[in-house]
Amino acid sequence: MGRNTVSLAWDVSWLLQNAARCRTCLCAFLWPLGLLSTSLAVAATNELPLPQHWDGSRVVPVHRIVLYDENGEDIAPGYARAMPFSARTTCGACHDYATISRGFHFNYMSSNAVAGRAGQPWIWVDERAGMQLPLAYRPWTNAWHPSSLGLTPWQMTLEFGRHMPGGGSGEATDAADPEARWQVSGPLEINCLGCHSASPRQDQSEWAKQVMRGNLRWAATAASGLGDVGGMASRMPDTWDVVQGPNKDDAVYAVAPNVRYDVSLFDLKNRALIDISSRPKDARCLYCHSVAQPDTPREALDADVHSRAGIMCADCHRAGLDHNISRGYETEAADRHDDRVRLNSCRGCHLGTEGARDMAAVGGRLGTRIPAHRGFPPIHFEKLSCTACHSGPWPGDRHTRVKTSRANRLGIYGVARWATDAPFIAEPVFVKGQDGRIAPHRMMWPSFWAVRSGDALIPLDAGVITQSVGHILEAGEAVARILVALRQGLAEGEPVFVSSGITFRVSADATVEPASCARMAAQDPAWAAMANDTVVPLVAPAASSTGSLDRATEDGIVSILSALAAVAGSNQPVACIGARVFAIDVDGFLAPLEGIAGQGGQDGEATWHWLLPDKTLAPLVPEFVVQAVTELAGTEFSFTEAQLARALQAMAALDPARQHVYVACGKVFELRNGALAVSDHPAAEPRAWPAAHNVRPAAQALGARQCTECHSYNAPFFFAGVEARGPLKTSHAGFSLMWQFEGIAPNFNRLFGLTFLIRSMYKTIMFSLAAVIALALLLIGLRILKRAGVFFVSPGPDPSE
Amino acid sequence: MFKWIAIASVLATIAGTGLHRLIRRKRLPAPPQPLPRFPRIEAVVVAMTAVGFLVLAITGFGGATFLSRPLHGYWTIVHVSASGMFATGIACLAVMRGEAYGLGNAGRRFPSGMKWCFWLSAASTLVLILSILVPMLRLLGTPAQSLAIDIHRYAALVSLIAAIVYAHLARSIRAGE
Repeated sequence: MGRNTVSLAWDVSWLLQNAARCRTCLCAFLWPLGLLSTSLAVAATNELPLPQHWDGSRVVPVHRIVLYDENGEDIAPGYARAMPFSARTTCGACHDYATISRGFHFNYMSSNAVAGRAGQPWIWVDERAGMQLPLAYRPWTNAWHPSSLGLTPWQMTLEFGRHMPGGGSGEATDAADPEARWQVSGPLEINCLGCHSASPRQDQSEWAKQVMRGNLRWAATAASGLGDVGGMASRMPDTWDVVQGPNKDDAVYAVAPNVRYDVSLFDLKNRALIDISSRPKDARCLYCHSVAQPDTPREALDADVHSRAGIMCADCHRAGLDHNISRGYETEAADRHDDRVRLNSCRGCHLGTEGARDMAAVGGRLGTRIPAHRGFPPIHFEKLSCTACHSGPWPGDRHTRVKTSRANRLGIYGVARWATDAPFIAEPVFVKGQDGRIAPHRMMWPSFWAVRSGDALIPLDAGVITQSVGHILEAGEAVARILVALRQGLAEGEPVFVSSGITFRVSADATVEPASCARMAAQDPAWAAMANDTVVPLVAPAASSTGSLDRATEDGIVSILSALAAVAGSNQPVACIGARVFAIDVDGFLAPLEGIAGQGGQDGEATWHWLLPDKTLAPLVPEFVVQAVTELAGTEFSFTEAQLARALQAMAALDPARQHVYVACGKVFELRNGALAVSDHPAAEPRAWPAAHNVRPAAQALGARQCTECHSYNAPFFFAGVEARGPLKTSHAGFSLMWQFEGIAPNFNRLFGLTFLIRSMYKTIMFSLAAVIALALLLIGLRILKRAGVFFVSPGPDPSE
Repeated sequence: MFKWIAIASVLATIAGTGLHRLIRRKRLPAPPQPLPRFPRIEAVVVAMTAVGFLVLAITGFGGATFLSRPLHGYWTIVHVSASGMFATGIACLAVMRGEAYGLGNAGRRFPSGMKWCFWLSAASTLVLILSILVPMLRLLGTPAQSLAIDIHRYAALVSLIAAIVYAHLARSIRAGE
């Protein structure tokens, strides 16, 4: 009843909205009336819950089905204005959508949902502003709640929908948000096929692109490969509605989202064969749950030992129709008040469930090996999670950097580069978890701009930062802007910027990247061209014998100055050759400027400058930009401390009433007396979440070979360095040792590690002492036995006597 | 569980020794004292054994009974260090006083109660050593490791009780002198 009532209410509200909007369309009045009457009929007659279709057969039913749009109408694939299919109506016809939407992947906004152990938060990244901020709707301690930062469900969906399975914030269309465009984009319904499709056509990369284009209601259809989706909802006006159809005024830019189904995939009854796997294939999970070390080539990667054994993700991370997927951590059963999920943890599967009276008590599920852990004192199993020894990269002196699908936007492919270097995530960091056991975690350090309010730091929107101080922070972009402009003035070759022996070219991201070249420029820094792997001046330093420029040089300079004029703003581009300064005059010819001393290069080579309104010369990019680009070359950092100080100064000038700070690398940076000061703050502390995979083979578990893998004076498990990383290149980054996160006493563990140096000797001595005691006991025992006459019988009188 | 068994056993032993003292009234006669062959060395060994035992008892039973948590941290290192002293002492005493502690007719230096206590203590020391050393050898799985720990605890309890009785008897002899 509840479900139908909700459905009815939704239909009525939809009817009223659309009837008001589509006054010119008769259909808008007629077919919603039919829909209303249908809904009323359904509400009146269908009081029973939807039947669950599993009858005990292990066969996955063939899903040759008619697709429905979000209004419950059949989809006619050949119809030019066909709607995208809706999982709510198509899949929900047989599988209770409301029940599914309460599953773990979708219930994160519900206050009634079990939060469970803190997992990986969403990480809000803005590389230009140097922001990486963990977010979670669940009340996890490792993240900010989106609403506390002013992020609405609409914004969350647009930002993270690329790796969301739909539902949740994607369907929170009633949340108050004047900026939201749900009416244009539609809801982001649960994408059942995102996990359950077994078709090679299923393309989550396409899903991500559609979400980023604002085509929320079209994303599932595009990703399924059943049809081709065109247009962009993000370019449509706020007043556009899907029932209005194509934009007749613009067929190039503001093209309305539309779908053209591949009719060859439908039969004569308009049914499509949907290839379904009830247990999602690993590839589907890995779209959102991949983790990779950026420095490791793909061919060097090993899969999780369970995957290699043929166990699928969904074999352990199980769920029924409720989609409450078992997360597999030790205390999940207690959190969920459901003993059944205990079986799906490492211990449950390998060791059995304590207290169970059936087969679950035995362990060895799915043929798994029951570990003996020979030689391991049981204290290990009280202090450590299974993953501490068995999962993640082998701990070294320093943590490894990893990228994850959801944080670093992996798995989205196209001409553009979608993946990001930020956020900086470290693994493994051994942290004492909420259950009191030490487990390997992934860790990141929040980076954001904020204002101080007492002791609290209130994060600022990244957009505000890029708007106000973006010109200071985006050094690479500043150089790239000049290079792009210079491209127009070069007849051949590629414009490059040379600084400190590094040659920079424009990258695909409209910033700069180091380029390799055989011969370097004579000047440094210099704007130059790269041709045939050689750096040459933009204009050949040729001059006639009379001291005037030859024709070719003059044409070259004019061409370059004309190109630079496009990005000159209020300045005038000029070329300096020796002490002379040249500019383009009103007639378009090159003319020397009088009264201005040039700053030309050696050997008559031209240098390029801006002539400022006050008739002084300035370099094409400021000195600090040159320094920043040089310092950041080949690194993953976004900006330097010098840039940060300038940015903070600029922000203080814009808004002197507030104290602006920048949080990164585990520290708070702010201006005090005009200088950059560094301090600690709880908001800067790292945020961690447990890492369970990849599980290594037992032979590669920590301690499988030697106790000293953990118990030694400098064992990485306790004493590896954990260096805070972030977008800022700084020498003040926070640094910790592993034990600081483990809640253990470092000195004791160093001393305890040292005892392993003499442990062999100790064992030998103690065994020897035991042997002596045993011998003495044997002798005394024999004497007792002799006294008792057990073995020795008196021989009696000698018969010969 | 072990905590209460240990407390009850020790209290019962102490009560038993007190009762023994009341019932016997008559002091134990000092047995004839043949001189030890190396009296100074033996005195050092006895002292080492006693100190080792005391440290083991305090670190082992102190945590188990009063702190209600297993041996941990620096206490473990102290405990393990003392175990070497104690095991060495017991082994040396078994050799040096083997004759004197002889349960047959040879030993007249100690009353038979003390002899039995010593050998009981030596036997439990052997169990104590093996129940710690064998689990270090990567032979025992987790259940056997847990069993070994339990065996270690109860062997330690037996050793403690034997030591209390031994000390009581020794005190009785000394008082009778």
